[in-house]
Amino acid sequence: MSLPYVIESLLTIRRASSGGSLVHQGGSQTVINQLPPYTQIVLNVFPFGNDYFDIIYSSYIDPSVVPGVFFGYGQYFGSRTYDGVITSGFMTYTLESLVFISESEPAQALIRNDTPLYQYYAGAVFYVAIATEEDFNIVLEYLKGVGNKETNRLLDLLVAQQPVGAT
Amino acid sequence: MPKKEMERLPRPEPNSPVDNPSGGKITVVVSGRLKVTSGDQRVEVIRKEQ
Repeated sequence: MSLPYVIESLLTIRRASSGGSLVHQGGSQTVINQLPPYTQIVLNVFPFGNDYFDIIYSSYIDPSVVPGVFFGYGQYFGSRTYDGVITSGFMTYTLESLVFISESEPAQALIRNDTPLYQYYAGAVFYVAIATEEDFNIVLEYLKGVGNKETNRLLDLLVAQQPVGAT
Repeated sequence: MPKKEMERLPRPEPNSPVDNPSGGKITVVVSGRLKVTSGDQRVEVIRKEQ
């Protein structure tokens, strides 16, 4: 899977002090071995540990999930990245998005089993993590400096989604 | 640019198993560097460490 340009760009930012990466990449999997019939659950997704801010840039539903048995949606602050029955299309393609999560603004995912049978669910998201508010501000400055269409779009979204209390 | 210019979507109710005939706990297994929680006592989130 190739990374979206703007995410790849963030991964090139280096710390002035050590030369190490400022932004770190990761993946996270969620598995529900048995979701009972006609049951829905809501999951809240936060950055792990003390991370300041995460950007989820893609996700997928595992092809082992039976198509058409789940209804679901994923959302953060003002956007729903998908909303509907999880058909085979969701298992064929990686879904690209820009979902911003922080401790004060978690994302939510709703998964509902719409069948009379227990069902297996598995999915994953891929993200980049920004450890501190100071690092977040360095990312903003970097994006201002690059100034192309993709980075300007991300910059606008990040400024709008900056956690409350950040400068 | 003003902050939070998008209108917030309503958050789903955290206590949301609408109907769980089994009455048992639902186990959600999570791996990776994200923190996943559920506000429902019937949903148990387990972190799978490497």
